[in-house]
Amino acid sequence: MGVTYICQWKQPEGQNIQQSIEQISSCVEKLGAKKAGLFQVECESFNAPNAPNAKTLHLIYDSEFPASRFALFEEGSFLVTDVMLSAFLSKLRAVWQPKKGGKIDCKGQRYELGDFLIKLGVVSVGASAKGISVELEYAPCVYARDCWGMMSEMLQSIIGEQAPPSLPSNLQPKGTERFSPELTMQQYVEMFNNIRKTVVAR
Amino acid sequence: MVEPANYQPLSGEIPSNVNVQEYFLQGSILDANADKLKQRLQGLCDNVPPEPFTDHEQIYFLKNATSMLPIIVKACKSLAKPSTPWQIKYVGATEVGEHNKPTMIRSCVTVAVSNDPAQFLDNLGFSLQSEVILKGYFYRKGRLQITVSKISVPPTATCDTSKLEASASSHLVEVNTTASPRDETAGDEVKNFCQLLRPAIVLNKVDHRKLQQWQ
Amino acid sequence: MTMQGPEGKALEGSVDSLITRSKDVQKSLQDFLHKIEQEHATLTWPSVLDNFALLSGQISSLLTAMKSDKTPPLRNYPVVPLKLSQDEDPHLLRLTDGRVSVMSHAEVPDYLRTKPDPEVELAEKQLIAEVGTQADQISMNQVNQFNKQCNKILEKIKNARANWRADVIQSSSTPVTHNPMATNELIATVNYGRGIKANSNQSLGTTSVVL
Repeated sequence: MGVTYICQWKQPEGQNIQQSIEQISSCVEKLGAKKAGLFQVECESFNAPNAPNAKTLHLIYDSEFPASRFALFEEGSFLVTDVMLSAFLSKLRAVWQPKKGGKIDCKGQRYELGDFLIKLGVVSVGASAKGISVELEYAPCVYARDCWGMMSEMLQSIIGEQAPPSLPSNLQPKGTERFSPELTMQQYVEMFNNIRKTVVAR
Repeated sequence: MVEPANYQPLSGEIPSNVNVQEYFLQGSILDANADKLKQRLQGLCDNVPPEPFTDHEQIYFLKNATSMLPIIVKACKSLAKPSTPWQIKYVGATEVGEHNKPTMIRSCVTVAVSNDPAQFLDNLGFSLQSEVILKGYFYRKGRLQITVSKISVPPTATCDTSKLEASASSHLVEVNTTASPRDETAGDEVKNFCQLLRPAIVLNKVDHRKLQQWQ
Repeated sequence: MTMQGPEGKALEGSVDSLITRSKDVQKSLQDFLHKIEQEHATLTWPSVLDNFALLSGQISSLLTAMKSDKTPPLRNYPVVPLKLSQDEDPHLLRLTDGRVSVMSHAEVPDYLRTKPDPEVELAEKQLIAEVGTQADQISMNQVNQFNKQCNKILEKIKNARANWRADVIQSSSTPVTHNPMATNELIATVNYGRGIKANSNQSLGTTSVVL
């Protein structure tokens, strides 16, 4: 997999989620992207109520990697496993339990434009939609610093001025190292957390 | 080409019976007789060469507020084939069962992981108890798996030789199969196979509760 | 009848039970006879055997009652006829259900007999004498010899058993192939980490193998 950037697209005022998704999809299609199926990213959070220092654990399923599951601790370690991870965690339910309202997912359409893979998704908690996510992947390159220029341009044409001007801080440590799915998942978790905070704030 | 015996493909689909149980019987055999046992196994098992394996197993405990016994997870890495992913395996409590149950039963969930799960397990609250290296041969017959192995101590662990005197000159033999709890025949299959190994080795149910207290 | 109290009661009781049991025997006999007369065409051997078995059981219970400890020795109470006549006695007829009508000099010896006929008695005595004159010596010898043989056989068996035990201890035919202590140790080590303590700050996934 290549370098991936994920961000939340703040929809324009006065529009609901459905309209915003249509707007941005038509924008992407105008660029020449072709539809290439659907995608889904699900995240379930666990915590250990009885352990004082326990970090929150996120379990992520990404349809781009159907045979894998990702386990990410908040400010902790990251692990790629096979599909039995949820069964494994259920055996630990005496200590680790799912957080209430911890399930969040992002579903939407995949588009392919040359070497780019663009995913536009609706982030929802349960049945209610909370935001829109945009994911851009440049498949051929695995070093973030080398391809950031191209990605930045592409992002500008999709999301306009919301695109970050320079290599974002969370991608920077891996600027000279190979990009890995860990970063993708970290970005998703960060975006989900932000969306959750805004939900609570309202 | 026949797949190597311990090849576990990363399953793309979650198997329908997530609640998997292991039916097994264990025993030991003196080193001197181990060769005879291996010959017999080669005759009885599927027609593939026995698979040599060297596994580094680590045992992690998670103290549990609700029960006396800790939750046990084993992390296993193949030293013979470094490209095989690590496996972490949750093992439930071993049930010896009543006299009419042919084998011991415990639930188990095996997850393949990409790299060393030590930090992951540490974040979950597990602490490393002990580690052991198992080197031996792996046979299979249908869905039965048979391992004949010798244990040794990895250089990173300290060993209490007084507790391991007798096991220094014996191989550990285990016959097991995994099946759903509703499967009645799995235990009988294991038991029938073990009968074929007599009198070279007698595999029986072992009371794990007593062994757990000898920490 | 003048009798001592408790003995009289015991006698009455035992006589009553004897009467009951003989009535049972009588009834089964009657039924059996009736069966043979009426159903002889459809009679099967097993059902006949059943009847015989029933009779046999009842007779044996009768004999048991007679031998029982509660029965006073009946031989101490002979039945003596006080009055004999050749006329029909309706009372007797009624008592015996129409079978015995007259109690006369001819019937008394048969019905109230306590000893067998003199000829029969003589023959019996002769027979007993014949059998009994077997020399005591011969029979004693035979008994002694039999005892000796039995003892010899017992000795042989005991010796054989002792020898077999000694053999087993000396050389067992099945060699020992496993050490149960080792089994327990191995399983405890592999499953629960007994005997091996991991150092907590080691690097994991070591590549060196110790054998």
